[in-house]
Amino acid sequence: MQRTALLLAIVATAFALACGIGPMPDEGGDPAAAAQDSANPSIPEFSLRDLDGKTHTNADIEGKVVLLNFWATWCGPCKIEMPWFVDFQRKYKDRGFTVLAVSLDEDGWDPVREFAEKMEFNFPVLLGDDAVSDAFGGIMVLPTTLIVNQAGKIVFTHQGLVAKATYEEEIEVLLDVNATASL
Amino acid sequence: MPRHRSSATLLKAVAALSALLGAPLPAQQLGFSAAMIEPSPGIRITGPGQLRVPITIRVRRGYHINSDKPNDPYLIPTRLSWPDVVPLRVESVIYPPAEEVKYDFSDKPLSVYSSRVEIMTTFLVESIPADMGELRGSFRFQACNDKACLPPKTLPVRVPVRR
Repeated sequence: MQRTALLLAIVATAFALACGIGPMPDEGGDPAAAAQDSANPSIPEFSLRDLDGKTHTNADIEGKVVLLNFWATWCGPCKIEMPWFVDFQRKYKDRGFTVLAVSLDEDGWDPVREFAEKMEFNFPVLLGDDAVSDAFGGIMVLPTTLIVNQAGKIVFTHQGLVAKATYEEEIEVLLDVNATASL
Repeated sequence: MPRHRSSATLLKAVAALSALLGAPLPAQQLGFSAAMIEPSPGIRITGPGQLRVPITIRVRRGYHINSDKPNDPYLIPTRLSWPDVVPLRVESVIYPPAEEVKYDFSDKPLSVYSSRVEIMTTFLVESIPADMGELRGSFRFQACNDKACLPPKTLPVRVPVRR
Protein backbone atom coordinates (compact mmCIF):
# COMPACT_ATOMS: atom_id res chain seq x y z
CA MET A 1 0.00 0.00 0.00
CA GLN A 2 2.80 2.35 1.00
CA ARG A 3 4.68 1.48 -2.18
CA THR A 4 1.62 2.32 -4.27
CA ALA A 5 1.25 5.68 -2.51
CA LEU A 6 4.94 6.39 -3.04
CA LEU A 7 4.68 5.49 -6.72
CA LEU A 8 1.64 7.72 -7.14
CA ALA A 9 3.47 10.57 -5.43
CA ILE A 10 6.45 10.12 -7.75
CA VAL A 11 4.28 10.06 -10.85
CA ALA A 12 2.30 13.10 -9.68
CA THR A 13 5.48 15.04 -8.90
CA ALA A 14 7.07 14.11 -12.22
CA PHE A 15 3.91 15.13 -14.04
CA ALA A 16 3.84 18.47 -12.22
CA LEU A 17 7.50 19.02 -13.12
CA ALA A 18 6.83 18.10 -16.74
CA CYS A 19 4.06 20.66 -16.87
CA GLY A 20 6.53 23.29 -15.70
CA ILE A 21 4.72 23.73 -12.42
CA GLY A 22 7.48 23.08 -9.95
CA PRO A 23 9.68 22.98 -8.07
CA MET A 24 8.31 25.81 -5.98
CA PRO A 25 8.31 24.84 -2.32
CA ASP A 26 5.74 27.25 -1.01
CA GLU A 27 3.31 27.30 -3.89
CA GLY A 28 0.03 25.56 -4.17
CA GLY A 29 -1.16 26.10 -0.60
CA ASP A 30 -3.27 28.74 1.00
CA PRO A 31 -1.28 32.01 1.03
CA ALA A 32 -3.00 33.19 4.20
CA ALA A 33 -2.10 29.98 6.01
CA ALA A 34 1.47 30.14 4.72
CA ALA A 35 1.78 33.68 6.08
CA GLN A 36 1.03 32.39 9.59
CA ASP A 37 3.36 29.39 9.47
CA SER A 38 5.81 29.64 12.36
CA ALA A 39 8.22 27.36 10.52
CA ASN A 40 8.96 29.98 7.86
CA PRO A 41 12.75 30.51 7.71
CA SER A 42 14.36 33.86 8.51
CA ILE A 43 16.00 35.85 5.77
CA PRO A 44 19.82 35.47 5.99
CA GLU A 45 22.02 38.42 6.97
CA PHE A 46 22.95 40.46 3.93
CA SER A 47 24.84 43.64 3.14
CA LEU A 48 24.76 44.70 -0.50
CA ARG A 49 25.41 47.90 -2.41
CA ASP A 50 22.94 49.42 -4.81
CA LEU A 51 23.54 51.29 -8.06
CA ASP A 52 24.17 54.52 -6.15
CA GLY A 53 26.68 52.93 -3.79
CA LYS A 54 24.31 52.85 -0.84
CA THR A 55 24.56 49.75 1.36
CA HIS A 56 21.38 47.82 2.10
CA THR A 57 21.17 45.44 5.05
CA ASN A 58 18.50 43.54 6.95
CA ALA A 59 17.96 46.63 9.11
CA ASP A 60 16.65 48.55 6.07
CA ILE A 61 13.79 46.12 5.53
CA GLU A 62 12.70 45.62 9.16
CA GLY A 63 8.93 45.80 9.43
CA LYS A 64 8.43 45.72 5.66
CA VAL A 65 7.02 43.22 3.26
CA VAL A 66 9.80 42.60 0.75
CA LEU A 67 9.81 41.06 -2.67
CA LEU A 68 13.42 39.92 -2.97
CA ASN A 69 14.18 38.99 -6.54
CA PHE A 70 17.35 37.33 -7.83
CA TRP A 71 17.86 38.00 -11.52
CA ALA A 72 20.44 38.66 -14.22
CA THR A 73 20.54 40.64 -17.44
CA TRP A 74 21.09 37.41 -19.40
CA CYS A 75 17.91 35.86 -17.98
CA GLY A 76 15.00 36.29 -20.39
CA PRO A 77 12.20 35.18 -18.05
CA CYS A 78 13.50 37.61 -15.41
CA LYS A 79 12.86 40.51 -17.75
CA ILE A 80 9.16 39.66 -18.04
CA GLU A 81 8.76 40.20 -14.31
CA MET A 82 10.60 43.49 -14.03
CA PRO A 83 7.77 45.75 -15.22
CA TRP A 84 5.49 43.97 -12.72
CA PHE A 85 7.90 44.79 -9.92
CA VAL A 86 7.91 48.43 -10.99
CA ASP A 87 4.10 48.34 -10.70
CA PHE A 88 4.24 46.68 -7.28
CA GLN A 89 6.69 49.25 -5.98
CA ARG A 90 4.45 52.07 -7.14
CA LYS A 91 1.27 50.43 -5.84
CA TYR A 92 2.40 49.14 -2.43
CA LYS A 93 5.35 51.31 -1.41
CA ASP A 94 3.27 53.46 0.92
CA ARG A 95 1.89 50.40 2.69
CA GLY A 96 5.29 49.23 3.96
CA PHE A 97 6.46 47.28 0.94
CA THR A 98 9.59 47.28 -1.15
CA VAL A 99 11.15 45.36 -3.99
CA LEU A 100 14.84 44.50 -3.73
CA ALA A 101 16.33 43.20 -6.96
CA VAL A 102 19.65 41.39 -6.58
CA SER A 103 21.52 40.93 -9.82
CA LEU A 104 23.78 37.89 -10.10
CA ASP A 105 25.52 39.16 -13.23
CA GLU A 106 29.13 38.02 -13.20
CA ASP A 107 30.28 41.02 -15.23
CA GLY A 108 29.52 43.49 -12.48
CA TRP A 109 27.72 46.80 -12.67
CA ASP A 110 28.07 47.77 -16.33
CA PRO A 111 25.33 45.61 -17.86
CA VAL A 112 23.16 45.97 -14.77
CA ARG A 113 23.34 49.76 -14.73
CA GLU A 114 22.52 50.01 -18.41
CA PHE A 115 19.58 47.63 -18.06
CA ALA A 116 18.25 49.31 -14.91
CA GLU A 117 18.28 52.71 -16.59
CA LYS A 118 16.47 51.33 -19.61
CA MET A 119 13.80 49.70 -17.46
CA GLU A 120 13.41 52.78 -15.20
CA PHE A 121 13.51 50.78 -11.98
CA ASN A 122 11.90 52.54 -9.03
CA PHE A 123 13.35 50.15 -6.43
CA PRO A 124 16.86 49.37 -5.21
CA VAL A 125 18.96 47.24 -7.53
CA LEU A 126 21.74 45.43 -5.70
CA LEU A 127 24.69 43.45 -6.98
CA GLY A 128 25.07 39.95 -5.56
CA ASP A 129 27.73 37.31 -5.88
CA ASP A 130 28.33 33.66 -5.06
CA ALA A 131 28.54 34.42 -1.34
CA VAL A 132 25.09 35.99 -1.39
CA SER A 133 23.74 33.12 -3.44
CA ASP A 134 25.19 30.64 -0.95
CA ALA A 135 23.78 32.57 2.01
CA PHE A 136 20.33 32.17 0.51
CA GLY A 137 20.79 28.45 0.12
CA GLY A 138 22.31 28.49 -3.37
CA ILE A 139 20.41 30.42 -6.01
CA MET A 140 20.70 28.06 -8.96
CA VAL A 141 17.67 29.10 -10.97
CA LEU A 142 16.76 32.57 -12.16
CA PRO A 143 14.47 34.22 -11.52
CA THR A 144 14.21 33.19 -7.89
CA THR A 145 11.87 35.37 -5.87
CA LEU A 146 11.30 35.39 -2.14
CA ILE A 147 8.41 37.16 -0.47
CA VAL A 148 9.44 38.16 3.03
CA ASN A 149 7.07 39.28 5.78
CA GLN A 150 7.41 42.13 8.27
CA ALA A 151 9.18 39.82 10.74
CA GLY A 152 11.90 38.97 8.23
CA LYS A 153 10.53 35.49 7.54
CA ILE A 154 10.57 34.03 4.04
CA VAL A 155 6.95 33.12 3.47
CA PHE A 156 6.88 32.37 -0.26
CA THR A 157 9.62 31.11 -2.58
CA HIS A 158 9.35 30.97 -6.35
CA GLN A 159 11.84 29.50 -8.78
CA GLY A 160 11.15 30.50 -12.37
CA LEU A 161 8.53 32.69 -13.92
CA VAL A 162 5.17 32.76 -12.16
CA ALA A 163 2.01 34.75 -12.73
CA LYS A 164 1.87 38.41 -11.76
CA ALA A 165 -1.39 37.69 -9.91
CA THR A 166 0.38 35.13 -7.71
CA TYR A 167 2.81 37.75 -6.47
CA GLU A 168 0.03 40.29 -5.99
CA GLU A 169 -2.03 37.89 -3.92
CA GLU A 170 0.92 37.01 -1.71
CA ILE A 171 1.94 40.65 -1.18
CA GLU A 172 -1.64 41.60 -0.35
CA VAL A 173 -1.93 38.74 2.15
CA LEU A 174 1.22 39.82 3.98
CA LEU A 175 0.29 43.50 3.96
CA ASP A 176 -3.18 42.62 5.26
CA VAL A 177 -1.72 40.51 8.07
CA ASN A 178 0.17 43.56 9.26
CA ALA A 179 -2.86 45.85 8.93
CA THR A 180 -5.00 43.41 10.95
CA ALA A 181 -2.36 43.05 13.65
CA SER A 182 -2.12 46.81 14.15
CA LEU A 183 -5.87 47.31 14.68
CA MET B 1 13.85 1.56 5.46
CA PRO B 2 15.63 4.56 7.02
CA ARG B 3 14.00 7.88 6.26
CA HIS B 4 17.02 9.40 4.51
CA ARG B 5 17.24 6.44 2.19
CA SER B 6 13.57 6.81 1.25
CA SER B 7 14.11 10.46 0.41
CA ALA B 8 17.13 9.69 -1.71
CA THR B 9 15.25 6.98 -3.55
CA LEU B 10 12.31 9.29 -4.12
CA LEU B 11 14.59 12.06 -5.38
CA LYS B 12 16.33 9.70 -7.79
CA ALA B 13 13.01 8.39 -9.04
CA VAL B 14 11.68 11.91 -9.56
CA ALA B 15 14.91 12.84 -11.33
CA ALA B 16 14.68 9.85 -13.62
CA LEU B 17 11.02 10.44 -14.45
CA SER B 18 11.57 14.14 -14.89
CA ALA B 19 14.47 13.45 -17.22
CA LEU B 20 12.24 11.22 -19.29
CA LEU B 21 9.57 13.89 -19.42
CA GLY B 22 11.98 16.73 -20.13
CA ALA B 23 11.07 18.69 -17.04
CA PRO B 24 13.11 21.25 -15.12
CA LEU B 25 14.70 19.88 -11.98
CA PRO B 26 15.65 21.25 -8.59
CA ALA B 27 19.10 22.12 -9.83
CA GLN B 28 20.79 22.73 -6.52
CA GLN B 29 19.81 19.28 -5.31
CA LEU B 30 21.01 17.28 -8.28
CA GLY B 31 24.09 19.10 -9.66
CA PHE B 32 21.97 19.60 -12.73
CA SER B 33 23.44 20.52 -16.10
CA ALA B 34 21.22 21.38 -19.04
CA ALA B 35 23.96 20.45 -21.51
CA MET B 36 26.43 17.60 -21.58
CA ILE B 37 29.43 16.81 -23.74
CA GLU B 38 29.43 13.44 -25.39
CA PRO B 39 32.66 11.55 -24.68
CA SER B 40 35.00 11.79 -27.64
CA PRO B 41 36.29 8.54 -29.15
CA GLY B 42 39.63 10.28 -29.53
CA ILE B 43 41.88 11.29 -32.37
CA ARG B 44 45.06 10.05 -33.96
CA ILE B 45 47.68 12.56 -35.06
CA THR B 46 49.44 11.04 -38.02
CA GLY B 47 51.41 13.95 -39.40
CA PRO B 48 51.52 17.65 -40.17
CA GLY B 49 48.42 19.23 -41.67
CA GLN B 50 44.85 19.87 -40.67
CA LEU B 51 43.06 17.89 -38.01
CA ARG B 52 39.29 18.14 -37.70
CA VAL B 53 37.80 17.37 -34.29
CA PRO B 54 34.04 17.31 -33.76
CA ILE B 55 32.63 17.93 -30.29
CA THR B 56 29.04 16.89 -29.73
CA ILE B 57 26.87 18.58 -27.15
CA ARG B 58 23.56 17.22 -25.95
CA VAL B 59 21.09 19.79 -24.67
CA ARG B 60 18.50 18.45 -22.30
CA ARG B 61 14.95 18.29 -23.63
CA GLY B 62 12.93 21.38 -22.73
CA TYR B 63 16.04 23.55 -22.52
CA HIS B 64 17.96 25.65 -25.00
CA ILE B 65 21.38 27.25 -24.92
CA ASN B 66 22.28 30.47 -26.67
CA SER B 67 24.00 30.10 -30.02
CA ASP B 68 27.50 31.44 -30.64
CA LYS B 69 25.88 34.65 -31.91
CA PRO B 70 22.84 35.41 -29.75
CA ASN B 71 20.79 38.26 -31.14
CA ASP B 72 20.52 40.05 -27.82
CA PRO B 73 23.59 41.79 -26.40
CA TYR B 74 22.74 40.72 -22.84
CA LEU B 75 22.76 37.00 -23.67
CA ILE B 76 25.83 34.86 -23.11
CA PRO B 77 27.12 33.16 -26.25
CA THR B 78 28.09 29.51 -26.44
CA ARG B 79 31.86 29.13 -26.69
CA LEU B 80 34.18 26.22 -27.29
CA SER B 81 37.75 27.21 -26.57
CA TRP B 82 41.10 25.47 -26.64
CA PRO B 83 43.42 27.61 -24.54
CA ASP B 84 46.37 25.22 -24.41
CA VAL B 85 46.88 22.71 -27.21
CA VAL B 86 50.54 23.45 -28.06
CA PRO B 87 52.11 22.32 -30.38
CA LEU B 88 48.80 22.33 -32.24
CA ARG B 89 47.16 25.57 -33.33
CA VAL B 90 43.45 26.27 -33.52
CA GLU B 91 42.65 27.22 -37.11
CA SER B 92 38.89 27.53 -36.75
CA VAL B 93 35.94 26.68 -34.53
CA ILE B 94 32.80 26.28 -36.62
CA TYR B 95 29.44 26.37 -34.88
CA PRO B 96 26.37 24.89 -36.55
CA PRO B 97 23.52 27.08 -37.80
CA ALA B 98 21.27 28.15 -34.94
CA GLU B 99 17.50 27.86 -34.60
CA GLU B 100 15.48 31.06 -34.37
CA VAL B 101 12.89 30.42 -31.68
CA LYS B 102 10.31 32.79 -30.23
CA TYR B 103 9.72 32.32 -26.52
CA ASP B 104 6.96 33.86 -24.43
CA PHE B 105 9.54 35.80 -22.43
CA SER B 106 11.14 37.43 -25.44
CA ASP B 107 9.87 40.08 -27.85
CA LYS B 108 11.82 38.64 -30.75
CA PRO B 109 13.06 35.19 -31.78
CA LEU B 110 16.25 34.11 -30.06
CA SER B 111 19.18 32.41 -31.72
CA VAL B 112 19.54 29.13 -29.84
CA TYR B 113 20.68 25.54 -29.93
CA SER B 114 18.73 22.61 -28.59
CA SER B 115 18.89 18.83 -28.70
CA ARG B 116 22.19 17.90 -30.42
CA VAL B 117 24.90 20.40 -31.35
CA GLU B 118 28.10 19.50 -33.17
CA ILE B 119 30.93 22.02 -33.10
CA MET B 120 33.84 21.40 -35.43
CA THR B 121 37.34 22.53 -34.56
CA THR B 122 40.10 22.46 -37.11
CA PHE B 123 43.59 22.30 -35.65
CA LEU B 124 46.76 22.93 -37.56
CA VAL B 125 49.41 20.34 -36.82
CA GLU B 126 52.89 21.61 -37.58
CA SER B 127 54.78 18.88 -35.81
CA ILE B 128 53.69 15.65 -34.23
CA PRO B 129 53.54 16.11 -30.48
CA ALA B 130 55.82 13.73 -28.65
CA ASP B 131 53.79 13.27 -25.54
CA MET B 132 50.21 14.52 -25.76
CA GLY B 133 47.69 12.36 -23.93
CA GLU B 134 44.64 14.48 -24.70
CA LEU B 135 43.43 17.77 -26.07
CA ARG B 136 41.92 19.93 -23.34
CA GLY B 137 39.34 22.57 -24.01
CA SER B 138 36.40 24.19 -22.32
CA PHE B 139 32.78 24.61 -23.26
CA ARG B 140 30.86 27.58 -21.89
CA PHE B 141 27.13 27.95 -22.23
CA GLN B 142 24.08 29.38 -20.56
CA ALA B 143 20.79 27.50 -20.61
CA CYS B 144 17.15 28.41 -20.12
CA ASN B 145 13.79 26.81 -20.55
CA ASP B 146 10.62 28.81 -21.16
CA LYS B 147 10.25 29.73 -17.49
CA ALA B 148 13.70 29.97 -15.94
CA CYS B 149 17.41 30.20 -16.61
CA LEU B 150 20.42 28.48 -15.14
CA PRO B 151 23.66 30.34 -14.47
CA PRO B 152 26.42 30.22 -17.11
CA LYS B 153 28.42 27.04 -16.85
CA THR B 154 31.80 25.88 -18.14
CA LEU B 155 32.42 22.19 -18.77
CA PRO B 156 35.83 20.64 -19.44
CA VAL B 157 36.34 19.10 -22.87
CA ARG B 158 38.69 16.14 -23.20
CA VAL B 159 39.70 14.48 -26.45
CA PRO B 160 42.02 11.49 -26.04
CA VAL B 161 45.01 11.46 -28.38
CA ARG B 162 45.70 7.92 -29.53
CA ARG B 163 49.01 6.57 -30.75
